[in-house]
This record gives sequence, C-alpha cells and structure tokens, in this order.
Amino acid sequence: MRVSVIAKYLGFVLLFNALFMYISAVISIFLRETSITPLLYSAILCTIVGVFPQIFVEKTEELKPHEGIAISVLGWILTCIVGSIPYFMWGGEFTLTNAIFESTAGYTTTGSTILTNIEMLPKGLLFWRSATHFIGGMGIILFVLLILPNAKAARTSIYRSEVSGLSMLNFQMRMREIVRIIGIVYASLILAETIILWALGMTFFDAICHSFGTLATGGFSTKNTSIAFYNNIWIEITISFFMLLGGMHFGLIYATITGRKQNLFTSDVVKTYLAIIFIGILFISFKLVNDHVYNWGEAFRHASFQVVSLVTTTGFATVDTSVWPMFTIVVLIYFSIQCAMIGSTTGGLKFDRVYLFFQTFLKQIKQTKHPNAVYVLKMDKTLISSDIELQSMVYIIVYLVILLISTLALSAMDIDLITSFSGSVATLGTIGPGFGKTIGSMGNFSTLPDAAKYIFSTNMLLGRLEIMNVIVLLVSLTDKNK
Amino acid sequence: MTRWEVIVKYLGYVLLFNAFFFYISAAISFFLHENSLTPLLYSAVVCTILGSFPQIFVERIEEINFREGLAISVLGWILTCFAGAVPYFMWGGEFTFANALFESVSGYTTTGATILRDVEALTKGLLFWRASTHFIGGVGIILFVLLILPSATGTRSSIYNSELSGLSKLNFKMRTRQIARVIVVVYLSLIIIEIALLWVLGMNFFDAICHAFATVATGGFSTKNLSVAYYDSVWIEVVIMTFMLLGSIHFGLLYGTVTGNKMNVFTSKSVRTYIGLMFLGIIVVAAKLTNDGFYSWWTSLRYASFQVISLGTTTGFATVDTPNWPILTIIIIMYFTIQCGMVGSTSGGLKFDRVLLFYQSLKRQIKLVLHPSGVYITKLENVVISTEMELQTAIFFILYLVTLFVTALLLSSMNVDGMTSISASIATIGNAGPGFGKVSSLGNYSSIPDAGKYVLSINMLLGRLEIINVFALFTVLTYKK
Repeated sequence: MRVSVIAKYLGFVLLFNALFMYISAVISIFLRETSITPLLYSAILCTIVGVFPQIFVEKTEELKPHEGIAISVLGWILTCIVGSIPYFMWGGEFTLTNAIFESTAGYTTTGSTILTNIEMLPKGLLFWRSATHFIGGMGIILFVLLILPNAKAARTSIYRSEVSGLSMLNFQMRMREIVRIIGIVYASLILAETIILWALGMTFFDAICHSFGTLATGGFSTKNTSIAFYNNIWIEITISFFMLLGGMHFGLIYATITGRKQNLFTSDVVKTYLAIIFIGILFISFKLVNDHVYNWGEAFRHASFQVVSLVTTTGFATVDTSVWPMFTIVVLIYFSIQCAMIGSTTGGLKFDRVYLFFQTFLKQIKQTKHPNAVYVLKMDKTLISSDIELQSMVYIIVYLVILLISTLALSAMDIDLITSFSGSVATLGTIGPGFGKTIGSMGNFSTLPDAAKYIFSTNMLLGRLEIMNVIVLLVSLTDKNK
Repeated sequence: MTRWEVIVKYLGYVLLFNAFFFYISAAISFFLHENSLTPLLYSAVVCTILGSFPQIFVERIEEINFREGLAISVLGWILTCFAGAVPYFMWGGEFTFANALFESVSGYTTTGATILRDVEALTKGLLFWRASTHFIGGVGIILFVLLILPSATGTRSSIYNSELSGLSKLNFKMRTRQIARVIVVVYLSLIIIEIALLWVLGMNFFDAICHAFATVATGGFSTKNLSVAYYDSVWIEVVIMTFMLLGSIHFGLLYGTVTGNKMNVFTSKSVRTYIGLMFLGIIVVAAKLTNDGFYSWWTSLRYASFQVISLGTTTGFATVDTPNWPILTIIIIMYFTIQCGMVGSTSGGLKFDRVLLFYQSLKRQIKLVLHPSGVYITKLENVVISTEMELQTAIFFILYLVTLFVTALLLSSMNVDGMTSISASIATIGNAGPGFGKVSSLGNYSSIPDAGKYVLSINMLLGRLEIINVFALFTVLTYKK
C-alpha cells in the first residue's frame, strides 16, 4: 500500500472541507459572530495540511482496490475529526466528545444532535453544521472524484468501495458519467427545494440549511423543534416529497427525467418500496386514531411525515413520537432498520437488501418443497447471481450482529432497552432520532454517558461506510501477502 | 395434498411414546405414596387412549411426502409440549397454566429454563417426569418414533429431512436408517456411562439418572434448587462438564471416534475450533474474574469453565450465581449462548457450524472485494460448500437474529428490564436456559409476566425446530395447487 498516494487523496478531502469552512467563516464575519475565529482557524489549518501532499506527491494514475478502500475509510474518519474542530473551539455545549459526535452525525448524514438548544448557535456554525450534511450526503469521496481532473482508473477503484455492487445494476453506464449524474441530480434537487421552501415563507438561510438536511437525508434543523417550528403543512409536504426523492436511486431519477425506458415508474423495487411505506402510514394513522391520539387528518399528517422521515433516514420531526403507542413505535423501528434505496444518499441497511432477503427466503422455501427445481432471482428484470445474494445476506448478518453488540454494550451502561436499541438502530442506519424519553424525535443525545456517544459515533461511521469496507480495510492492513 | 389421517397416526405414536414415560413416573409416585400419582396416571391414560385411536383406525402407510413429514415434525413438537404440561397443571403448586406450559416446553426443547422458585418441593414422580421430557426431547421425539416404527423406510427419510438440517448430513455420509440407529446408540451409551459415574461419585441413583438425562440432552433441569452447586464437588462438575461437551458434539463424529473411523473427533477441524474457542473463552473469563478480585485463580477457573461449557453447550446447569459478574464475562458467555453447540448433536439454537460457515463466507467476501476477478470456494471439513448452502445458512442466521430482536423488544414492552429481556431471548431461542439479570444462572423465570412466558415458550420451540421449518410449514399448508 502506498501511503503517499493515500495522503494525497486525503489532502483533497481536507481542501474540500476547507472550502465550506471559508464560506461559514464569511457568514460569521458579515454577522459579526463569535464563531469567526474557530471557523477561520479550522479553514486555514485544513488548507495548509491539505496542500502539502498536493505539492510533494506526484500525480498517480492507478489505484489498487485496497488503496481505494483505505482512502474511503480513512477519509471519512479524518473528515469527522476535522469537522469537529470549529464546534470544540467555539465551546458552549460542545465538549470534545459532543463535538466529535455532532461532527460525525453531520458527515454521516445521521442528524442526531447533542444540543439542547440549537438556536443558540451562531449562523456561521449552523451553516457549517448543514454543510457537513451536504458534504456527507454524496460521500465526500465522490466529490473529490468530481474535482479530480484526470484519474479515470483511480475513480473506478475508489468508487467501488463507496457504492456497493447492487447499486451498479441500474446504472449500466460508464463510471465517469455516473459521477456526473449523481452530482447533477443532487445539486438540482437541492436548488429546487431551496426555492420552494423560500417561496413557502422560510428565510433564505433556513431554506438552504433545510434543503441540505433533506436531500442529504441528514436531519439537522436550525430550530429546536425541527419542522414543527413552522407548523405549515405545505412545508411538510415539500420536505416529505424531497426526502422521498433523496431516498431513491439517483440513476433512476435521472432516467425518469431524461425519458429512459428503465425509470421510477417501471421499477418493481421502487413500487414495492412506496407500497410498503404507504401501508406503514395507514397502519400507524389507524392506530393513532383508534387510540384517540389525533383525529384522522392530524394522524395521517404526522404519521406520513414520521414514516417518510425515518425510512429515508432523514430524521426531521413534526411531533414527539415518544408518547405514541408501542405498536406504532415498532412499525417505525422496522422502517428505521429497513432504510431507503441503494444509490441514494441514505446509509444503513437499505431496502434493496431487505427486498432481496425476502426474495431469497421465498426461493429457499420453494426449494425445500421441490428440491430438484431450479429457481432464479430477478430484481427489476436483472438476474441476480447467488454470489450477490450471498453478499447481501452476509451484509445483513454483520449489520444485525453489530446492532446486537451495540445494544448490549449500551444496556450494560444502565441505559433502558428501548433507548439503547432504538439508539443503535438510529445511528447505525444514519437516521438520527430514536425512541424513548431521552433520544425521541424531539429529544437529543446530550444526557447519555460519553462512552455511549463514542459507541454511537462508531455506529454512524459503520452505517455510512457499509461496514464491509471497514472490515476489508482492517483485513488488508494486517494481510502480509500484498 | 396433505393426508390428515396420516399425520394424526404419527402424532398418535408421539402420544403413546409420552404415555410410556408417564407410566414410569406414575409408578415412582405410586411406590413413594406421593400426591402426584393421580395427575401422572390421568395424563398417561389420556395419552394412551388418544394415541391408540389412530393406530386402530388408520391403515398402515408406506410413504409420506415432504409436506406431511414437515407437519408431523412441527405439530408433533407442539402437541407433545401441551400433553407434557397436563401433569404439572393438574398437580398445582407453583404451576399456573402459563407456568406449566412454559416448564413443559422448556423440558422438551431441552432448554432447562424453569419457573419454579422451589424445585425441591416437587414430588419425585414429577421430578422424574421433568427429567424425562429432557430425555425425550434430546434427540427429537420424532427420531424416537422412527426407531419404533417397524415398517417405513420411505417414511423415515422424509421426516428426517425436517428434523436434521442439511448441514448436519455432511458428516454422516450414511444411510438414514443407520443414522437414526447411530444417534440412539451414542445417546443411550453416553447416558448410561454418566449415570454410573455420577452414582460412583456419591449422587443418589435417582439424582444421577435425572442429571444424566439433563446433561446429555443438553437440557439443564436439576433436582436441586442450587443446581449442581448443591453437590459442591469438583469431580461431579468435571464429569458433568465432559458429558455436556460430548452432548454438544456431532453424534456421528463420536460414533466415528469409538468405531475407529477416519472421520472422527480428533481429525475434525470444526471440533478443534469449537473446543479451542471454548477454551479461550474460559481463560478470558477466568482471568477477568481473578483480576477483578471475585475469586482466587483456581476457583475462577472452576466456575468459569463450568459456566462457559454449560451455556456454550446450551445445557444451563449452574455452580454459581452470575448476575453480578463483570460485563466483559457476561458478554463472552452471551456470545457462547448465541453460538450454541454443533449440528448433529442434541443442542438447539443457531449452532456452531453455522457461525463457522458464516465466518468462512465473510472471509470469501472480503477476498472478493480485494481481488474482484478471483474465484474462491468455501470449505468446511474438506467438503466444498455450495453457494446455495451458504445462502441457506445465512438466511437462517438472519431469521434467528430478527426473532431475537423481536422477542427482546416484546419483553421490554412488558416492563422487563433490558438485560433480562435480551439475555432471556438469547437463552430461550438457543435452548440454553438461564440468562443474566433476573433470569440468571441460579434465578428463575417466575417474575416474567404470563404474556412474556408465552413469547419465550414460542422462542424455545422456534430454536428447537430450526425456525425455517416453521415458516416452511405455514407456506406449505397455505399453498394451493
């Protein structure tokens, strides 16, 4: 493994972060806020450290798979640590642990916060907080690829570790084009949402921050009460709509707009995904009406927002769900585990894998019935090989095992089960809020012990990096046969 | 097409087999003039009558199909659990309906979780019945039924398919009829040897039988409130540990070792890994206990080895109460409870071979990421495992974990604390018995609400029946063609 090459790419990551730190600093300068020094200091630090490898390391055309993975994993870890510097320097509620937690929650587009009073933050820091969502949303590595002028081979091997095998099914295009498409779809959706939210009465600043939070499926809001602050049904509809889009395969969105044959309306996976969400919303509204929590209209409004917000791993809230009936919480937890589609900005387990699991499961049962028959699996008319099936199943197992370990570790710290389990689900799935009294949709993670915050931060990174990559990196670092 | 009368006929055999042990228990109660005579005799007579009917009216059938085999296996277990609860419930005492059912399911599935606060208050007849349920459950009542069925070679293999999963057949490489014989020979001889050893070491004959049933069946019901700690004898512990381990190793391999086959316990890589891992676990737990000043080195090693082996083999005997042990040791022991014993043994749950296979698949996946165009195969014991088999195992693993989470959540919604909910779910679905928290090694399940007891009973059955069979049965029964 060539350390110098990895350092060069990590340098790009730092420079990219520096750009957004400068923008945040500029906002602070114009508004004469206390966050100028922290933001400017971090920006300059990132610039200096990031420029060095660009000057001293030569251009490289080719990357090996394990170098690509190392860049991807280390890039995320580095960026999470760097992003916490302005928080920590500014102080307030940010201890070192809190700052790292908030930064990781931002970059991984989780959106869990340790802040009890978000509105106290200066505008510069609020923008930086949303910017981490924007950066994380597409994977900072993809961004780096976009601004890299001429590394075609390099692009392919980093890309492989950022986007898993399944998501390439739908694209069937060249890598370079894929990256361009993701960028275009992402930027135009953000632009469209900012304009609509602005038109609906949000301030321009809030509109930008919320669009970043929506399309990156993050969930950081600039208000303590999240979207409930606006109490505006049109704003909720807009945000729900864009959250849903943010949870769809970007290639399919692009194909729909450009009028290709394989698009959102022809895909079975998308149809199933939407149908399950719709059924979930109906179940929850029915239960809420039945238990006299709300009337039909209110129930439908809150249920749909919550389901969409959790299934797309965003985590915005319009209501405090910790007081909802147990049944609705179980349904919501299911959606939190399922997550949204591959090829979108969401993290976690991803719906495609759950879908594939059910297909494989049905196949197994059919096979037990007719042991000599040969069955094939198809997803959106593409044949799925047993190897891809196995890959997804192994992934699901590793995911569930990590969920179990993190739940156990947290309950060992005397945290109640619903908090430790839903917290683990919410962080591993990069969703944000969990359930229970402390970390519910209107709550925050501030009262948890420091050790728990580190476990959650690790969870978020694992969820974002698709776990497997981290394991592969650890293996390739210890493997001497390279 | 499903022929219900065929299923009923086989379920009848199951009842008759239970009745046989009911009569023995009743005889014990009769000689000791105990008040459990009526419940036991009543259950015995009811089982005999219900079980005889289909034998008289349904004709002998040579061939049963897959669906029927599956239905017999799943329904047989459920029926037997209900029948076994009758004497407990009729006898009364701590046995409410929920408690009686829980105790019965726990016995047949060889879990060994009890709701009794005072085990010693039970009559000898009931204690023997309790241990018999372990004996019956140990190798699967269905396998027993197969043995006493004179006629059916075709029948045997199709019930057998649903009792032993695909993986366990790898090592056998024999004909089905022979397999059933091997299992029973190994099972009975292990039990007889253990009874003799325990008796020699100073247990009374009755306790020796009951403990031997519970050990080799990897169950865990004791006749004492303090479980094995009552005897406080290192040698008894060593004997029980050895037989717990033997009970959790593939019976075909044990047979192979004794008959001098090339494929035996010493040549098998999985057995070595299994024992090695357990050894490692014991050392770490013992070191942690000594380090934290709980016990001296020697005592730590003694307790650690017994606890790890007891839960790792899904038995659940105890020599010490564990709830205040350090969290590291609890997590290690919990890992072993999830891992369980080997396929082809009397242990239930996930089974070590699946964990091993999963680990191999994971390794292959990693290699594939690093060398995308490489071709790799997964091997277990020098047998190439097909991707289909790997997939089947992975699916089972996922279902297992999902069931675990669902039960833990259900329990915690009944105001059971987190540690108790998780560890109780792990311990019941793995057929281990005790968990941690309120249901720790010397504790019991009496404080769990009734609804929770039903949930855990279902868990035990799912763990024993390998989950996927239950799903397959539902799908098969609702399938119209």
